[in-house]
Amino acid sequence: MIYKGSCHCGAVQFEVEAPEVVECQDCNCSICSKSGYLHLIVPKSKFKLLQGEDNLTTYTFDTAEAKHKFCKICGIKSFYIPRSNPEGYDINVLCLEPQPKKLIVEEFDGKNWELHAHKLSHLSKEK
Amino acid sequence: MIQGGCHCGNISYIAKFQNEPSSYTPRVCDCKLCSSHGATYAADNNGILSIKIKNKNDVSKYKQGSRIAEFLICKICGVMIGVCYEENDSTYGAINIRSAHDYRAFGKSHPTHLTQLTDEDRIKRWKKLWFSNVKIEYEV
Repeated sequence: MIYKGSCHCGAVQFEVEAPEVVECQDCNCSICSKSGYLHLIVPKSKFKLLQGEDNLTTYTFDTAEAKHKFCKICGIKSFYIPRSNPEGYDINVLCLEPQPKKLIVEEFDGKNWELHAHKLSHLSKEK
Repeated sequence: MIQGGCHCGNISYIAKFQNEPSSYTPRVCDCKLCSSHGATYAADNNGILSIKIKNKNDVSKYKQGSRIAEFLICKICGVMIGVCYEENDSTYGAINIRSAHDYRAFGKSHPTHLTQLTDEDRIKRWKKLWFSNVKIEYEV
């Protein structure tokens, strides 16, 4: 199904195709712990930014592979390009409308990213 | 004492709680802004909150809803460290414990539903629950 998504102030708007039952990851790495984020990683073709490119700021740190994008106005990170899947998009489930009928949250040990990233790498593969 | 801040280091704080952090019940607000930041708040009316900001131009004071409180959001890394309310010469505030270095130090969080409150009741609640001693220092 198609979910709508947005930041809080509405400047950033997107659509994402995902199942009614969403499996997502709750990561314990330094930025995810502070940002509050539930990760839904999808292939590039499933995501469409409708508006707000100019309202996005990109934050990088450490290897700078992940492009953490958030709204300049309200600070909400509604999606970004993840280090584990640079060919895909990582959507913040907390920003989806409607919320998925069922949410399955798996813990992801991002503090030890190198050991566990391979478990996520298939998520952006186009089927 | 709880230390915390945003991810990039532009905003940092020291929050002095009167009791052990584990004895506090942080509050999870269900409004859209707080949900999207995954925010959970803690404060001590008799404690002290000292916030240091390296560059004030890189901090957003975002207002929403009743537009009477300001959410402190780093413009560099996007992390929301907490919320403040100013009245006359006093500043009240609460920290988003997600931005604390050790947010697991706090007790189990509890949901709150505040969207129905009037502005007057909201302010009364903040004055009772939030840090009443809040200092914000700017380097630049």
